[in-house]
Amino acid sequence: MKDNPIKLAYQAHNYVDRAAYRHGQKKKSDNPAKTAPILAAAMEQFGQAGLPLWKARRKAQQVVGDPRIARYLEKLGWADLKAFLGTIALFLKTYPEDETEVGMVQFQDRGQTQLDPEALGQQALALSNQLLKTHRDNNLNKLKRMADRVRVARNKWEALATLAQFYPLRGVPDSVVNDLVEQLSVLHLRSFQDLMARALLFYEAQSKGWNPNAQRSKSGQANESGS
Amino acid sequence: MNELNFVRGMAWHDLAKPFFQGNPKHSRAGFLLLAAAGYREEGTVALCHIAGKDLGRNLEQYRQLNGPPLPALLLLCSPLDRLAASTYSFMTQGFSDPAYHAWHNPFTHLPEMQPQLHSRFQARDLSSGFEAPLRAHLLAQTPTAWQMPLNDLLERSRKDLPLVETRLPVIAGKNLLDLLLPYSETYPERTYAPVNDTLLSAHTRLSAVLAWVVYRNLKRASKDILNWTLTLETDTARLPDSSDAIDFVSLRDKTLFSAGEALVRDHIGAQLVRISLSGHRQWTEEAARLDDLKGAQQLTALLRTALKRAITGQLGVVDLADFLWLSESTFDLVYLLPEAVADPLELIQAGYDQALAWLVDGADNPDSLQKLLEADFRAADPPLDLARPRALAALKAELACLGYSVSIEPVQPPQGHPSYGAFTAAFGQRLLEAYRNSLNQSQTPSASLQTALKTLTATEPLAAEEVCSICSTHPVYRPLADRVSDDYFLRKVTHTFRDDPEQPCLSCIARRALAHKQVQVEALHRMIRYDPVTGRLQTGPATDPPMDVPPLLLHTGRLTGLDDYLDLRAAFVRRARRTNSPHPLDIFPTVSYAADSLGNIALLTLQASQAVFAAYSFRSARQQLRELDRIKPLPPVWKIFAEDYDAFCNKVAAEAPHLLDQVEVIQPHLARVLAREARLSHFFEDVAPAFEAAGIRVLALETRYPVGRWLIPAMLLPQALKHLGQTIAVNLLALPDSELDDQARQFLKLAAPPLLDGSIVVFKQKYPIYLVLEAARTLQAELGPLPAAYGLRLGLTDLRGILSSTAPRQALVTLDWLPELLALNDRVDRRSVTLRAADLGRASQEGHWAQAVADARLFIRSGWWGLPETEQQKAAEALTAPGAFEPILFFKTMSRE
Repeated sequence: MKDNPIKLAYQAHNYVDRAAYRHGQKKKSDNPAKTAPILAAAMEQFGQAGLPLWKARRKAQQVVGDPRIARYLEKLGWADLKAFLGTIALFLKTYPEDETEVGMVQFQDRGQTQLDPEALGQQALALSNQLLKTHRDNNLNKLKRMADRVRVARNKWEALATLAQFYPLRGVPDSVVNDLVEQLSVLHLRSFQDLMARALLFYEAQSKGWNPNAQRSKSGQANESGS
Repeated sequence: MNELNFVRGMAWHDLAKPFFQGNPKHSRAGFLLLAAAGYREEGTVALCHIAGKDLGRNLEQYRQLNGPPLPALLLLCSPLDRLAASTYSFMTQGFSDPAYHAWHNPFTHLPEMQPQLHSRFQARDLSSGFEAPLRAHLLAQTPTAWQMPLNDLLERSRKDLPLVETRLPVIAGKNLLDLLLPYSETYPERTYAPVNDTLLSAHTRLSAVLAWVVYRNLKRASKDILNWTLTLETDTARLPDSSDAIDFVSLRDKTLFSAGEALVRDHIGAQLVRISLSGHRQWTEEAARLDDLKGAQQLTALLRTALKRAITGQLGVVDLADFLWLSESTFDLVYLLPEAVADPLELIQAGYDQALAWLVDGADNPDSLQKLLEADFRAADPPLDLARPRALAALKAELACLGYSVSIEPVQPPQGHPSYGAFTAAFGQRLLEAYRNSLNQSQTPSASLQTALKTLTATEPLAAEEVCSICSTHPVYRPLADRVSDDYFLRKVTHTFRDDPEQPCLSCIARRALAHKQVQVEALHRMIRYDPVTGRLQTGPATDPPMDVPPLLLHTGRLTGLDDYLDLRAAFVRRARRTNSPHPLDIFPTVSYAADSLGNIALLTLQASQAVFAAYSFRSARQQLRELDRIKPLPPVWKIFAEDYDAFCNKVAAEAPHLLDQVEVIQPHLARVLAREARLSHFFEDVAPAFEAAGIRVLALETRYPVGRWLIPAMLLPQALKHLGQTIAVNLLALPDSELDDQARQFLKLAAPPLLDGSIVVFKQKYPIYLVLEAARTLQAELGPLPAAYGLRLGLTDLRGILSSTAPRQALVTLDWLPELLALNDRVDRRSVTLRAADLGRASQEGHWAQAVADARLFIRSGWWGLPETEQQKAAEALTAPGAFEPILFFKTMSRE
């Protein structure tokens, strides 16, 4: 079974010596964070006729610059190679620029836990409350866009790439994205998608005045009165 | 004095009370007015229905008049009047100074609107504030020739001048009595709070019935008083045994019984008889179509009238037909029969048979079925023998199968009470208890029902095609059924289903023919224009009040022959049959008249609750009114009541605390219950006009206590409920303002009882009515006992798609909450509500988190409602409040935006 190009990109981005570029040991203009999207754009521009696959692979190996990933690139087709180049830049972007930044947490696909409705509700509410703490800095539209893209992800890697796309980004709290990466590591994709969608639903409603505690006390009353 | 004069006199003894407060004045005015109307003997009852010195003065004035001797029986009028009084007055105990006079609503004690004067009946000075304008109103109603003599009579009464006898002849069919009686329908028996909630007419009806009971029992015992006359002396009179007439009526020592009071006490033994026309009820409620239902109702109403006449005929007093019944509703007649009537069941059975015969072919009955059928089928060619003796005998036999049932409750005079006042109170309670028990008592099936059962079982089983396709009970009437396919004229009493005309029996033909006189809707005459020259019909919206044409009414049509019927789907149309008809057409709506553009109809049913029999306490209201006034000033009419009532209660509490209960708690009494029932009946009659005034098409199915039923377009349900709430507030509970604002609802919470229980069942126009009625009954049963919510509770259900007679409750609204719900319904959009319903529908998978998701989504959707930001949250919170969402979902499902 062939490897997912995004997975490869995620593995590959770990081999990139980001410090070397940061400290000037390597030319910044060779930084794959910049060169990979350019190569992907060239592939798009010239097409397979103008830029043969073998040539594109070789260029990609140069871009990544690490021989450990080169053998994987050999197995990638045209579309996957483009996806690889497109996402490795995203992942590289998630690394801190300096020591003051933390960077996006490492993703490890550790499990496929499915959330039951109770856990889903609780975790979504917790996430929503977390978002409320930075409410003034949040951009609801960006958050919604992120959730919408996660919703259509076909696998965890696509979801991860989406998260990376929104990290770091003004209006999307880093801490929340990190939490989401943690959740993605352990949850089944469907549960993760539900969690994000629901958390955002709760957050939007809470920002419009909805009080989940009032609702809970209401349903408590209803249960007590037997209705 | 014979039985007729005595009973009628008691029924009219307070005829002049609206014009003159106080015993001597209204009793003498009663005599003068009744004598002027040609009822002199009845007038003597009015003259003598008082006691003590006042009676002495009246007797003296009568002596000076030099009239014929007065019968001693008149000395029982005052004890009978007191026995029928709805209050055992604390006014006699030293609190005889009411600060103001009023007629109060029997449920809220807000002042009632006096229709003659178009003002609320509440006055500090009764004489100038109310009686004088009312007398002026009376004079303005009378023919010119009467005005001077009538004014003289009224002035004579006002100034306590000597009695005279004047006759005011009938002019153009107008009788003075007919002008006077309506005032008793809008005047209270007492004018001081809080017992001023009982109509004079309810009190006088009860007085007449009690008088008749005592009269019959005295007659059975052959008591001398029936034959004695009084010897009039200065300021008093003597009985033949030389006893004093004034003392005979009442003694100064109220702890003792006078001879007259004892006579009443010893001869008041009676039995309360409730005749339930149960077979007719069943026939009505099993109706599939509107004309079947209306026809059955009309038949029942005719039979009820005939039965009243027949029962009094059996008793030998046919002229008392309208005086002897205690109460009547659509299917019930209640009588208080004296012990002297030995076998009430036999009496009723004979009366029922006689009534049925009179109804079918009574020679002196202008509305007999025979005459109706003759007129309706006169153009049949060849003629039908519908009105011939053989067919009429068969019709009678079929109608006899609609049996009745009877419940009998003995009402024995209570024993061991030390005074007449205590006796009357105990008797009043016993009478009311019997009245109430008769509603719940298992009833004896009538002999007629047993006969009907025998008749039915003795009949040879009929083949399916020989049984009436409408009622499925009686044999098809072949002479009509065989010709109905070819003869269009005969189809006026049948409907065609899938090209197959119905095969009716005789009773169903009669029922449909009766319906033709009943189901006209005035608004349709304003919608359908007819050109008599071309015969063309054109429909258009009605004006004044504006009302849209029913969506299912065909827009044009043409009438060709005299007896042509035109089916316009939402109505049947023919040329007016009666020469004096105000309209060129007879128009009979179908159920589709009330349907909306999608063919959906809502059946609104309102049923009076048991609260009509309850005691109403104003204690907490009295205590909290000041607080309410502090928050927002009370409306003036209520403030006067609150202040004066409070002051009066304080006075009673200080001077005679043992009487405080009588002032603060309104005890039920039969006359009071009858007044409450009458109020509800009037309210039911007000509902349809209120809807029509708001431009809502309505078909009233039933508007008589204890049930009101109306059909309205389902899409207009929220608007209809809004107007229903206002009609309840204004017409039933006498609220001065038409808006049910917060303060008004606070009032009602304090003062109004839980009065109406009801339901709304939404259905498709093609559904048979019996199915919908059954669903409404089932829903009502499912709702259980009425909670202590004031005013109204409505269960809502949608029968569409269920296709069974049972419908689950989908929502519940109360009057308290109705205005808020309807306002909320206007604020939120349909999509948000249906989305929320879908979210809540996932509760089985997601538990209570489904509710959280639904609530959250609703708050987000609130941004779409076009409300200011501050209002969005409030509206969303209101919609998530317990019990709020279901009614809104129901309304939104009904209406398309």
